[in-house]
Amino acid sequence: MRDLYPLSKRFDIRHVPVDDVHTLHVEQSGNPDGVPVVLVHGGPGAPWSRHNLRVFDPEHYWVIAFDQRGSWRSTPHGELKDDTTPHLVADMERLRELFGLERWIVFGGSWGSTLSLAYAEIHPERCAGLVLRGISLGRTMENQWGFHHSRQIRPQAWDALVASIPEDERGDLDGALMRRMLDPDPAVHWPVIKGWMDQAEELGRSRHPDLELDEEDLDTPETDVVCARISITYFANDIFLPRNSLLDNAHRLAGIPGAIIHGEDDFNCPLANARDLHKAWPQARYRPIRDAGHSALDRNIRLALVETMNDFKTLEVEQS
Amino acid sequence: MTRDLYPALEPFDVRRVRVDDVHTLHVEQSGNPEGVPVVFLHGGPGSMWSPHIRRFFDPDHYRVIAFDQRGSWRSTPLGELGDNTTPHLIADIETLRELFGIERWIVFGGSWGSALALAYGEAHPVRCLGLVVRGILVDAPEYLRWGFHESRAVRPQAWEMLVADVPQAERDDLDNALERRMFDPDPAVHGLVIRAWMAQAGVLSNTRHPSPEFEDDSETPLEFDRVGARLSMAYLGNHMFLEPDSLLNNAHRLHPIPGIIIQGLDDYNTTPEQAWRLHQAWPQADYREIPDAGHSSMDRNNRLALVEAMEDFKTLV
Repeated sequence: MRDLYPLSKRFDIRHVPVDDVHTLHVEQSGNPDGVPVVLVHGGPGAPWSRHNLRVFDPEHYWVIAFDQRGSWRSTPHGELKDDTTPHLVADMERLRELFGLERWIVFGGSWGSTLSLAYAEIHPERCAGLVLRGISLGRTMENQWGFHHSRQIRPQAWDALVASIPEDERGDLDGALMRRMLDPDPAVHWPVIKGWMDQAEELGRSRHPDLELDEEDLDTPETDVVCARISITYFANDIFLPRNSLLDNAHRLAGIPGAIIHGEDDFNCPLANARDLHKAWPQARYRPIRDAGHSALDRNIRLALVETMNDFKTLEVEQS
Repeated sequence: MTRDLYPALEPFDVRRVRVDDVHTLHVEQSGNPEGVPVVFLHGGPGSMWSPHIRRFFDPDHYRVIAFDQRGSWRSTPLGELGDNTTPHLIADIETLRELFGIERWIVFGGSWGSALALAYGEAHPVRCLGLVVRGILVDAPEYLRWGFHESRAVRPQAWEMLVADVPQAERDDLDNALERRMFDPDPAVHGLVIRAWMAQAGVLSNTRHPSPEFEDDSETPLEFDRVGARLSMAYLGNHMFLEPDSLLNNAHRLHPIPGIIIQGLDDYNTTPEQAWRLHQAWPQADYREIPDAGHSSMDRNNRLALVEAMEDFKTLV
């Protein structure tokens, strides 16, 4: 089984204003004449490792990647105004048009899988393929899992999450966590955000990490705060979509070649998300991955992503 | 290099011990009759146990007393639920200790056996030379709910298997629907749900490094699965016949006892939080998290940890 491709040089980096407020960091790599793929990153609001680009054969694919509104190198950093799922879907359409594409393959993991689904259900005719990893559907059940039930599997991580919440506020733990994360005072928000990020890392821990791939640590306290606040704002608003809409509208995906890749030991986004998506979208190839956690770079996930993108080379992606 | 199991051995004594007007227990002894006594508490409640468990213990050093708990396997009457509660089982352990003329012994148990070991240790701390518990089960409601409800998040297909036979209309009260079916006298009703429950438990046990030579994968006769399911429902549905949360609340009674807590980090059957909370309530015990190991005592890394614990106890105790 082949592993990651070598890192390919980015041949274009640009800043794309999408409205009066937000400007996106956008970059291209791989083969400019190749089959177009858009890489949809996680979070919402998280930086992403360039090693993610290495699952694509640079001879075959033209990879377009961007930082979502408010994220990382997009400006203004951490801006929550006009930052909702429908805005992000519209941004993807803008990029597709900017590059003169009729159709592209959509590739996303974690929150990136959520956004990819939202995009594909609104614009199925624009999707030549849909490759999703570490599925999140933005459901209440997922917050329930992270804030409550995951403690049974990873109790120390949960202890870290709630350490800064006083005992008398734990009766409404969800409310206490969200209120504190959004509090403007760093003395209030930082301990909770730090605990939440530490918990997420532990819940998503790789079964077979690769030190070379992990050495690039992009997270800083500043990116952690931005990511936590964007994420909490999205989750507190049901990801700005009607409840359960991603599963309810999954029938729109029926004609899109798809793959659902999910680590069986992913406690950040539990396996039930992938299972439920597959039941709503049975045409997709469902691949629960043994001995694998959440990260795209965890060995067995990485190999499955490379294999899937190699399989997808047989897709015909007509541009007119 | 950590050592693996000792060679296979046969018991030097097998007998039946009548404990009251109703129940008679199957009891065996193996190892060195002059050795340090250990009592082995099996899982379930109501499960069968592997003869390979004798091999955790150096047969020159330990005298191992193992028995089938009330209603289980070779004890009679099979599956009897009358006078079958945790306090009865604790009393049986005392009966056996006195029968064999033992002042104090090491108590060794996994899964349900860990809960019973803790309950016994808390009731009779002066009788315990040491306590070795693995795959920790305690009696808080959220842990008892896990298999029927929240475990769906991590092993959705196993959960779907469990509930497959329960009509949609009855799923709002799933606990009752499952329990009613397990106790239904008709094998056509209880057989499916009990087999599904066993199969789910197998998936949640999540063995990472199976060792076929230590595992009997032949199908258990339904009769024994039925005993296991019904005894488990009776115990778990009644807070193990203990005051709620008593195992953790009374853990202070264990403080003077040398203890080792062994927990597979990939155990989705007895979830790792239970071991972690036990460790917090009994910080004097040696808390050993086992990476890349599920629930089974025969999962490679658990097996090695259990042998090691009993080697450590040769000098500790």
